[in-house]
Amino acid sequence: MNAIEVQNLTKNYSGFSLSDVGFVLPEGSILGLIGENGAGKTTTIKLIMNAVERDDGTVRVLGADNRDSAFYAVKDDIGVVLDEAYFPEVLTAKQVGAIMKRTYRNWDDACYQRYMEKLSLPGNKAFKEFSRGMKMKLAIAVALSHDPKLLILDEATSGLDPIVRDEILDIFNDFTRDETHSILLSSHIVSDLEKICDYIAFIHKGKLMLYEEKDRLLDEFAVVGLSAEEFRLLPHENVLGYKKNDYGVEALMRRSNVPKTAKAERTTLENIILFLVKGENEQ
Amino acid sequence: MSALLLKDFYTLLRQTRLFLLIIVIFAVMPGSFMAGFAVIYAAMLPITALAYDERSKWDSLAAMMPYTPAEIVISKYVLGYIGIGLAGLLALAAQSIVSMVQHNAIELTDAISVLMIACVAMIFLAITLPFMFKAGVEKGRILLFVILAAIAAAAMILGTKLDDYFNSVKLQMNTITLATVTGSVVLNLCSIALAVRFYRTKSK
Amino acid sequence: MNLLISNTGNQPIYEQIYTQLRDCIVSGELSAGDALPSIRALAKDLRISVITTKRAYDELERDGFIYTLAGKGCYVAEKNIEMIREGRLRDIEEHMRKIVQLSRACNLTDGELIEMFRVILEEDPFE
Repeated sequence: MNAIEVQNLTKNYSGFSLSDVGFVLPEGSILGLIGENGAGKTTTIKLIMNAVERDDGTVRVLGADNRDSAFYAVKDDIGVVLDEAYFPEVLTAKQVGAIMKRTYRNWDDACYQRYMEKLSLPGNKAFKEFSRGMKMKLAIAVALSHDPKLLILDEATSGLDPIVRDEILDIFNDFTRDETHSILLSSHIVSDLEKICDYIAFIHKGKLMLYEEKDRLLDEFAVVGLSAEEFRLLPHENVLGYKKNDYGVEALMRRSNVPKTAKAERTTLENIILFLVKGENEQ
Repeated sequence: MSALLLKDFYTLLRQTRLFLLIIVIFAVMPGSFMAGFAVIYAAMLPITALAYDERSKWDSLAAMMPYTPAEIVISKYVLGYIGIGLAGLLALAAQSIVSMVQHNAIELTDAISVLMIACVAMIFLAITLPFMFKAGVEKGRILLFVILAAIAAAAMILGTKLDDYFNSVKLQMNTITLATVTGSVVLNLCSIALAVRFYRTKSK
Repeated sequence: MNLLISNTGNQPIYEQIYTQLRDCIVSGELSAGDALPSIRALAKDLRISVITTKRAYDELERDGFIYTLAGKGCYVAEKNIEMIREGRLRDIEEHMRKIVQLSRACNLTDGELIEMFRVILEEDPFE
């Protein structure tokens, strides 16, 4: 079964449109949704959860159409962490636990306590006194404590220092040791996604520019260093993006298109995205 | 829904202690006038709760949790009813204690005045909440003040007249009382339906 | 068992896993019948994609180094002569490439290199 199936997803706002987005999150996988701020990641997530109504397309989550009345029961199995929406500030972690116990069918208090300890979260301090990192950790602890099958995380690692980010990515990694568990993780910090994702979907200005297995992407795309003349000789459609400086040109290409005389270098996901965006902007 | 009520309960208990104290004090003060204020103030609690929700963008998070829109809306009404009910009961209890101490008979008219004020408070809820769910708390507050002013004015003008009127009626269940209670119940049901519809279409 | 994955360099990760596991099996570090970590556990332990470990395991199975028991996991297959020989040939090739690299680094000509090799071969004649 697929944890999430999205096809032709479209939503029109006055200043912005999300159009024709389609991807699949197979069960047991981690999908990284990349895009700069305002690209449409949060809109996509809201559309997936039916917090916002779509204008066109289909969305199925854990086997159910998200417009069905049955979808409310499905939400029991989905753990959510959002970027800027939280519990009321005056609540303490313990109070949040009591509320969640009456919210989710499978709430596990012992599990919640374990995560609070593991993440060093104080039980009786008001939320508003938490640092951003602690707020995120609490939201993650809540999301994980009702036996979810699917985690949907919107910018769950932004604004956190590298050590905390690593801790949290570890938790997500462990979550998917169970093959019935899946994660949709959106971020503009590409290096985080690069570490643990199986699939990558890249959204840019409301359009899906790329949807691919992460490792296949990193294996097939390479950065090639060329002189200006060599670059001019390349077929235009083979160059997916490039950077020029006084010493030559760096081009992003598929390995199969790299000329024999040139040297292809493996590169990072972040770099690939940068090249693609630059290439798109220059068109 | 119990989750939502608990959330609002915890939030209000932390943030509005002073306000809650005022409600309690007014409720137990002698005379139904102050008790009336307590009951009306209690009807403002859902609005305060909505304001705190807005501040933490709770709606965005709640949309992702297994709450139905109906649950989310109705929980605010229920919060209001509980507040009104508790304030009313507190007022009645205080009056009873005063009566017992003074060895007077408990006046039914006092009880009925509390009931009437509770109905007025419920009507107040029925008018303001749909507006809040549609237009947000800021705009709702403006409407709230307008209505409060109207109620205060009406109470002052009609206050003595109502007292005279009740004193002239003995222990019969008055048709006006019945009409008010029925009216406020019906109005609330309509209001809830309207508010749920507003809430469903608002965020989309 | 040591699996070292490099993110720099040009070799795809699934290839690195394939090669290192194959070498473990051929060298005897992993014996026939030994259980391999599950595809998912290996991926999570190495912090890489499950798709990649699956691909490596699929290729190892295709090439006869491992086999899968449904519901139980992956196990090292019985070694056959062919497999051993192939493994050794690959090792020899790898060593040869290293030798060539070293000789280039000190500007040894092909002729000098072959001469050195001939001398060594004479020390240990092929029967």
